[in-house]
Amino acid sequence: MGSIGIEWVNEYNGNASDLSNNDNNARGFYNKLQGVKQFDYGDGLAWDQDFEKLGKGSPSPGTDANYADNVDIAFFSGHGSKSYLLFGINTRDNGKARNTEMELGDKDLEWIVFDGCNALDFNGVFDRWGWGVFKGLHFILGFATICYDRRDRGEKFAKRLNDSWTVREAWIKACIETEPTETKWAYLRANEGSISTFSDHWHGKGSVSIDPDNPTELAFGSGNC
Amino acid sequence: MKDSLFKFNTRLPENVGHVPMYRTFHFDTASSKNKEYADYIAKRTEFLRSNFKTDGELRDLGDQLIIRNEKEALEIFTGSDSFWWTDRENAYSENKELSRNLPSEKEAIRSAQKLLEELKIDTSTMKVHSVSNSFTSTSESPKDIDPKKFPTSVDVNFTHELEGLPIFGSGAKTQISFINNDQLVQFAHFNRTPKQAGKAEVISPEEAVQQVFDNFRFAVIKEQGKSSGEITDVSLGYYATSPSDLQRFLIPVYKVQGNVSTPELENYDFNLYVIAAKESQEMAKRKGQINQPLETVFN
Repeated sequence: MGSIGIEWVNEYNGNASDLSNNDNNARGFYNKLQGVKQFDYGDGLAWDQDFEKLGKGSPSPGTDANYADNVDIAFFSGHGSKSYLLFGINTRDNGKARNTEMELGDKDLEWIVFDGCNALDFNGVFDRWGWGVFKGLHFILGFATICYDRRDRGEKFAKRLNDSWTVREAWIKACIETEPTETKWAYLRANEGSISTFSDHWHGKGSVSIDPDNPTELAFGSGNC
Repeated sequence: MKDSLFKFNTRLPENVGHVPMYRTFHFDTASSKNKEYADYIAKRTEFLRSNFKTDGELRDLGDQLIIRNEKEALEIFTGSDSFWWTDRENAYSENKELSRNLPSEKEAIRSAQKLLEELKIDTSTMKVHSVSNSFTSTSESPKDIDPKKFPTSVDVNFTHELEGLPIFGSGAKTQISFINNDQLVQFAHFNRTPKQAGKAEVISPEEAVQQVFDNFRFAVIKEQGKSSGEITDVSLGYYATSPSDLQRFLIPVYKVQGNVSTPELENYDFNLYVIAAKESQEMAKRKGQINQPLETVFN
């Protein structure tokens, strides 16, 4: 049985335009996926430091060891960009969970979803989200382009994970089901020697690879929805 | 058109006044007790099963019927006329060798059109939108500064339209993917068979854009006065929801595209849909045109 954490933002308090479906999107995932529901924080309780490593970056009050890196799968739904996830509160760190402030998987996390725009744009993706971030993490699942603020993608992803699709297939299919052709699904994942995360399933639904604590290869995939 | 946040950098479409309405679910209910509906689903399943020859148990997941084995999957959506066949070993692949023998764009389009014909799919509302690639890339060291991209399939993407008006959303598109010249690896056909049923009076494009200007999404950044934005395109069409949703009618919408820059997030694009029908949602419910409340501006 795996553990699940979600954070979502609709109210951006001026950091960006507000959104409307991220609560339903993330909670659809949280409530549908079979596992232990460990945390659900939204709007004023969703903080960038929850995804950041203590002591990394500036400011450096990272608390990922209690939140994002303390579950098996984490799901963020909100505005994204090539190098950070954006939050609506700037007083807990600075409102931006930057790639340079994250090291994921050194405690627990296997998979993380960035359900927001552009983070996995191919140009420079290994450098931005790869070598510095993957410390045992298996996959980042997201988009290479803008995406829509949909209320049902999380639930669709969870349904497929429950039904024993691989994590990769479940994400790609949830994206194709909810986005128009122009949007590009994407993922980044890690291997280490003979350890391959390619065929990972959700816990209890099929094989899960050993953690690639010191990745020797990063693999990227993308396509039109 | 003037607004404190947005510059208006496009031409508005013609104000057409009315658009045809299209019914897209042709049964009273999707209950399995409805013999007409149950027969339709059974016939469609048999037809698709015999064409794709996917082995395995047929499972009923509610909004989908599915046959899946280690090599392939056939998904039949029960709330729409959609289906999705996938070669699980070769679709969305990371096998770089596949890049050596992919079909050309022309060959892929020709193969896709042949398949559509074989499956007796009405293509009169479809047009080729683009031909794209799924691709993979790997990095073996932080020193790999320019990793190579390897295409692993050729994807022919069709969009759907009705009398020149595009159908937006994820529920009206077809993606047919090939490797090794003409080896099919994916056939996703998200569709609802439209039948014209009356007309709807629509708001003007100016009203639609004004609704975006006034939308709650932009209220705070407008108030703070530190951001800028532009509207880059406005077009009229219909909206189709996910293939698993039961949608009785296509929704007439304006698609408004633009971008915004705030101090914390620079130059990000957005697409919003504005319901174009003038009629109230109460009336649309009474007429059986909607099955859930809708935001007037949605994403």
